[in-house]
Amino acid sequence: MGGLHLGNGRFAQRCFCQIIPNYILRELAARGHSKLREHALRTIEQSERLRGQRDMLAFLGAISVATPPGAKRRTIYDCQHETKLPGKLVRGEDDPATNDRAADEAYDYSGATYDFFKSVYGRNSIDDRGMRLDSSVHYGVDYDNAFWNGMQMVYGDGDGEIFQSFTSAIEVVGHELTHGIIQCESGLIYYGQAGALNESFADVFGVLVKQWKLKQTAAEADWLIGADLFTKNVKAKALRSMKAPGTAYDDPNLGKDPQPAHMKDYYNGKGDNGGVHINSGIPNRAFYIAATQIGGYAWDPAGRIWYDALCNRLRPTSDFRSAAKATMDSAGALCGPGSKEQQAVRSAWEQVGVI
Amino acid sequence: MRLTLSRSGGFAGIRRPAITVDTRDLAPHEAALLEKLISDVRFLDLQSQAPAPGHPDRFEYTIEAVLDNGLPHTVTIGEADAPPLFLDLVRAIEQIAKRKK
Repeated sequence: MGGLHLGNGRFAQRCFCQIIPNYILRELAARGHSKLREHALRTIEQSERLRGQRDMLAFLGAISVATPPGAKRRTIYDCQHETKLPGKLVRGEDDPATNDRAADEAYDYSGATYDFFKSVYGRNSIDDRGMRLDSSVHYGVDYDNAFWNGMQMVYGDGDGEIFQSFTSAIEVVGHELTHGIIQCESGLIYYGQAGALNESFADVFGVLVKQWKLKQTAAEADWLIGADLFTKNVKAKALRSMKAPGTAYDDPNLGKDPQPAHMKDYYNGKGDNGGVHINSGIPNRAFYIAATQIGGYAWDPAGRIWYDALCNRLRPTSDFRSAAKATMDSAGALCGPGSKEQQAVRSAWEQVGVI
Repeated sequence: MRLTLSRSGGFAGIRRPAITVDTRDLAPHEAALLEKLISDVRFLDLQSQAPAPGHPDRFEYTIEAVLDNGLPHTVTIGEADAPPLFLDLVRAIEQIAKRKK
């Protein structure tokens, strides 16, 4: 059905397109104008289907068809308690509610996360180019977790004794989507201090989505992660507290919250990729201190400072000291050198013992 | 044989208490299932591997097996790049332990 006009007098018909190497087709798919993209995508899709490469198909599906900025493209899938991704399509953008609570929460909260980044920082989805927001719910059996797999979000139902569905808390959705953003921006590696920073940025923007949705000031917010994930059986405040790391829970089912609030209690063990969910308490508290000291709404300017550092200054191996410098530099650039905002950021990192 | 399963990482960052099952305490079909999975996944040939990059919030599983000939073998693997049979083994240990509770 027609051919692909490559310019320079070259013309490839559909049956010829297999000859064009995939890496060229991928470039066309990612960068070409819309007709070229569509054709390149269809071609890759065909060949990848033949090779059975679902991963590539999912990735292409996510980046295909640039959307106008401000337009969300959400797709929700049901894994039906298996672990194959993405699962069965159950809701597309603008489709009505499904009455499957997990699917509808994933839909609503990923929409809120998109709206937050778009309206506050001008970011058009995870890749800033309108990438589709795909979520799979009901992953596995009794699966006490949610994750970003590089291309989509995945949510378990929880075991029903300690945890409910991991779609139950908007900050969890924001956290997972932020991992996608981090992947596209500074690419902080998921180990040691860089990994703890990765986790912290995910928590920071996760709670900011919630605060923005609820129009809470920094002073009004509870700064808790995952309070809504627990069943009634559990007497715990939350999974993490950005305000007071280490105090979120102390329960026979869970143990005690291991997060440090200061460098003196830094976790040096090997578990959890060198404690990425543990040591994130330190930069989490730094953000809390900076945001509350600055006052007003935490997403601006505090969140804007953190966003600027994430997108423009941090690198894959950045450590806590580099993050302190980056956020102080961002504060100086955005709010003025010596500004009260920059001073608040400096004071925050001092109070957690990083500088 | 005795299998001890521990788990770290995940969004919640909870260090779940270790789960231990001993085939001598299990129903024959449960013991047989675990023995088959240990064999099918070639557990003794598995090496621990550092989790592949780019998989935030995934679990990391450690299984320590003390086999009937007494030799222990411990394997730590990230959920994202574990062989499917390894995850089946994890799941089997979890479900058997849950039934025993």
